[in-house]
Amino acid sequence: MFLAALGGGRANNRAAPRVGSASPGLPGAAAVDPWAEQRRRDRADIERFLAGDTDGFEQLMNRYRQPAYGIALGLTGNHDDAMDAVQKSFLRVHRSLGRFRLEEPFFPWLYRIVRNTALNQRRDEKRHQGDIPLEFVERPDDAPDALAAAEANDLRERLGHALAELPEEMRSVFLMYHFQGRKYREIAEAMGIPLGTVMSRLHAARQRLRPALGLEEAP
Amino acid sequence: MSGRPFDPVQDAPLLSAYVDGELEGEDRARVEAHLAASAEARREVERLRAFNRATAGLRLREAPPEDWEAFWASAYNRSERSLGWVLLVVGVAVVGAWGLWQAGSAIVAAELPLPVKLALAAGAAGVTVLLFSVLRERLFTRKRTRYDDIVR
Repeated sequence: MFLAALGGGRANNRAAPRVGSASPGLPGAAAVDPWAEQRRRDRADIERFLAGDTDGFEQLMNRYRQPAYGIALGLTGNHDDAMDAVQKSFLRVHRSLGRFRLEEPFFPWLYRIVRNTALNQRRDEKRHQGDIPLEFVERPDDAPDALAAAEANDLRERLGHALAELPEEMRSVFLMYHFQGRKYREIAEAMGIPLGTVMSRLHAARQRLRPALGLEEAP
Repeated sequence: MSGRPFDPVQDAPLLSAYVDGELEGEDRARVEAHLAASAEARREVERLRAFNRATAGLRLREAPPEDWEAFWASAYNRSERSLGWVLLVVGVAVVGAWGLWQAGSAIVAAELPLPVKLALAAGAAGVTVLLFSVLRERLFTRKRTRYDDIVR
């Protein structure tokens, strides 16, 4: 449901709202914060949980479970490790939510927990790491053109394998922008890095991934 | 990055931001001025747009619904078992330390030949080491080997 709100792929992501704090040179400086409703719901669920209502916690986590899984899968490259990392992360959130500062957005806090847990998981486990973290917004198998479907599958696999070769910092920025509908400002906030770093990491990731997409490499 | 001429190398990330609609103000004007003057920059923008089109039909994979059905039950189990293991380890450590102390005192006090005393002390130390080794393996090592041979 959260992914639906964000938009699934980049095509859908164009409808994703932008964080509205002002910054020279970048759009999204509107007075209204389009993520306000999301944050209001997060805060309401956290307050319910802190008041003793466990449904608040489950609703909050159910809203974020697929984005958390996507982040974890992108980092571990393995479905089982990703599920394990999400579960451990949610248990950590459960233990630490009392210390969460309600005036802060929830997603960046969750992102850091999931990221650290997933990286520890990848370090501790020695499992196969070749699971492709991407899927089609619309399944190409349903397409009438079998050749086009095969090519699309091939592209997905090539991109998935190329992603696994990217440095973690670049891969996280790339996945959050292209496949989670996050805007530059949100990625910067979640990862705790300057906006210019988001820009340069995303650009560098695209340069490195071009050959996998069969696009002309930058001179 | 504003107020100076466009540097094709250093400012290249601005082209990505421009294509993504993440640029405005002076930076956007600077990029547009550069695009008007540079055919290579225009080609690069087209390449970036082609990249975005190629990835538009993809999204991050989602876990299947059946995996989420068991998620909370196993999460609560994991939480309870973690607490159980912590309590067990604390209990075993306290009882073990007490037992070791008692055994040591009894061995020292007993009227036994020195080699027998040393053998008993070695046995007690061995049991302690083995016990902690098993606990350590259960807590930290076992999980590493569960799916080592499984290739998905």
